[in-house]
Formats: sequence, C-alpha cells, structure tokens
Amino acid sequence: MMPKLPVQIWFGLILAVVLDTSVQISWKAAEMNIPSSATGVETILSTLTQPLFYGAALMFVVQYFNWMNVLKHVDLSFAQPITSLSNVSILLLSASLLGEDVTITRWMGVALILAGVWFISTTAHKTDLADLTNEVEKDLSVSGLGAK
Amino acid sequence: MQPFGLLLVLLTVALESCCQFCFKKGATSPNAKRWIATAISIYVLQVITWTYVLHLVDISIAHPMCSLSLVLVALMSLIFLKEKLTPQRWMGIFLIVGGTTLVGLR
Repeated sequence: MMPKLPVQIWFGLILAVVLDTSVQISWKAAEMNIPSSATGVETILSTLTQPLFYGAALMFVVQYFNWMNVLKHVDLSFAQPITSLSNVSILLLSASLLGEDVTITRWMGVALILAGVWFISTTAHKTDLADLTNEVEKDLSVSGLGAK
Repeated sequence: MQPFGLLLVLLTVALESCCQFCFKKGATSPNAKRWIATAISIYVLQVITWTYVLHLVDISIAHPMCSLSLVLVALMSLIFLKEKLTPQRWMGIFLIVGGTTLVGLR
C-alpha cells in the first residue's frame, strides 16, 4: 500500500509552484528593463538596481524554507518534476494578463504536463528504502540499541 | 542561436541539477550546513548564467531546454540518492519534458 502524501506536503508543493511562478515573472519583468546591448557587468549592476529583483529575492527566501521542508519528506525525483506545473500557471497568467495567444500546441503541452504530474503523483512519494531505514531505527531505539 | 548561448543553457541545466541535489542532501543529511552552502553558491552561479541566457537565447528555446534538468536530476536521484524510479515516475518525467517543450513553442 502506497503511503499517503501528507496534506502539508501537498500545500508545500503548491506553494513552491506559486512562488516559482511569481519569481519567474518578476525576474523576467526586471530583466526586460535591461538593454540587450549591456555587457555582463552592466547586466549585473542594473539588475541590482531593480526593485523587482528584490521582490523576487524575498520570495526566494520563502521558497528556500518551503522547499527544504518539502525535500525533507519526499523524494527529489518526486518533488522537482511536480514544480513544472509553474509552466502551466505562467502560460495561463500571461494569457489572461498579457493577452498572449494560447495555441493548440500549447494546450497540448499543458495536457502533457498535467498528465505527467498525475503519473508522478501516483508513485510513492518516498522511496521504500528510506522508510525501511526509519523502521530499523525505530526498532533499534525501542530495543535500546539505537543512538539517542 | 549563438553556440555560446546554447552552451550557457546546458551549463545552467547542469548547475540547476547539482543545486537541487545539494538542497536534497542539505534537507536530509547530517552535514546539512556544508550541502546548503554549496547549493546556495551553485544557485548564485546559476542566476548569473541564466540572466546571460535570457539575453542571448530566445526564451521559447531556453525554457524547454531547462526541463532537461528533470532527467538529469532523476538520474542523480537514482544513482546517488538511491531513490526508486518506477516506470510511472519516468513516464511522468518524460511527459513533463515533452509538455514543457510544446508549451515553449511559438
């Protein structure tokens, strides 16, 4: 029987997608203000003067604590692909906010991503081996053999 | 597209994958601080290369290519973290890479 994914981890994964979407949109918006003729150093310096850059940085800090909490409880190969949902949210946001055209090809892409995330969500969120190790540790501490 | 831009995208993919791997180690291993410090350093590098990429390469090409990091991370999870990658999980990963590519097309 597959262990059920705790609600707070689902919440953490959704939060990761929301934050990723916001960071990427503000990052792109900040970057669009920089002329493409700028050299490397100029690019970095003008990025540092953008308020949007600091907004994105703040969201990144929240993202960091959230992501570490998610990774503590689930496989990396489970959590990371699920955050690709941000591709869908970014597309839908740019379609509704910027009036960007969503072609049939793009809708097909959305369908594939959703199907992929569904496939991954049907797999055990944590490798059995890790669960097994926890069980062994639990057994050891019960029998007084494990480290305190 | 400039070959340099393409190379930078691949470098960003590699950095992104290593960064995720180090974060995972930081979240679970006893040597947390060292792994997290490494992850953040790699992240900073990645931000710099990605900013360059956004200048040189069309986002509709660069972004789908970045989804290749899913495959690299899956391989690293399998080899170094001993995670169990069932056929369903691989299927999901490849569907997402395909989907991201289609979404990126103009």
